[in-house]
Amino acid sequence: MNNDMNKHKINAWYDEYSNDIHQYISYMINDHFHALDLTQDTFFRAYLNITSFHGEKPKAWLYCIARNLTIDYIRKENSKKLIIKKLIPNKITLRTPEQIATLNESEHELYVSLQKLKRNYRDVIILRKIQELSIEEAASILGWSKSKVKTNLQRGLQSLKKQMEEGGYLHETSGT
Amino acid sequence: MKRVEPRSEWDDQFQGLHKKVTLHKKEKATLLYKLNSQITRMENKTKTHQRFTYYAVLTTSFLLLFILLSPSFINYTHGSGVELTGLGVNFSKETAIPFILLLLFSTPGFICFYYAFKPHENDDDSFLDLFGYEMSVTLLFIFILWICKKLFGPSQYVTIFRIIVFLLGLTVFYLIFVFWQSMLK
Repeated sequence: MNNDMNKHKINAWYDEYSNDIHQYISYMINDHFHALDLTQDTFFRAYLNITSFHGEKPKAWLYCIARNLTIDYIRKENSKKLIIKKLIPNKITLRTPEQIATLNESEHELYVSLQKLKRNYRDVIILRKIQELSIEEAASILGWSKSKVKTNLQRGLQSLKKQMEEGGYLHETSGT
Repeated sequence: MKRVEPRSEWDDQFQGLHKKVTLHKKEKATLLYKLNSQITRMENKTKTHQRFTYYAVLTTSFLLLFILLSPSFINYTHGSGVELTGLGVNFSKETAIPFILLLLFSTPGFICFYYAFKPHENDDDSFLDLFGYEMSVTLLFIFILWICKKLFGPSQYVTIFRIIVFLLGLTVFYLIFVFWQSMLK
């Protein structure tokens, strides 16, 4: 009986937040298909640990789970990439599907530059700028203070600007 | 002003990214189906896992009871009917130590039955975990499973492993039976 209630709750949360969670993971790992798996894992893990959730904000909790899973995934992938990087240096592989094809040129440039950022900067830019979460929400998801969120966002945007300059994109977008 | 200009321009692009990378309806439905299947599988697995330990405990208890009562039965069937041993009348200091030893020796037998009934799913690495702990006791079972994996096909080796382990469990209890009989003579 209790299991059924939990299952209903997870299904309701899935309906409401699966898009956001999937989008966050997609931008973090740059891989649409693995993002689908990780989204599923996020909700499954939420189901397994639902008894430990006593808060009022399931969204932030689900984001936390998704973030932890994503970090684990990135760590595993990084060890594999160390070998691949030597064979294919400085190559960004856009493995997301047709959605990437629908991006216009400037969005595509921004996307490519975003993938080159440090994980913390990418995290905060995705949450604050792409997903448009409030500072409080971002802070609770990332486990940071509000001021740290603000600082990292500012630094992240500066770093993004630098990346776009290095990529030769900025003169077109900013008009400098 | 200089700093804000490019950021506001990016905000439009960020919004574009927000709108364009989404889950399709079909993907969302498939993912939900997979999630619910995974939850159901996990629930069933938990039920089976709770059951298989009972099977092992029941088999062990039944065999132990049989061994303990066997001297009484043997005496009764042989018609002497005078000396009752086992859990019968003559349960004394002399029989207490063999009785404790009997209980101790039954542990490897129980572990054999535990593995014989334990569910094995999708080449599960945790199959040979003993109540969640890696112990030296499992070394023998790791070796038997490894041999089975090498000698038999992927669809058969677990079943053969179960049969071997079950027979091993019965052997352990037979040896306990012999030991109990000899101690009481």
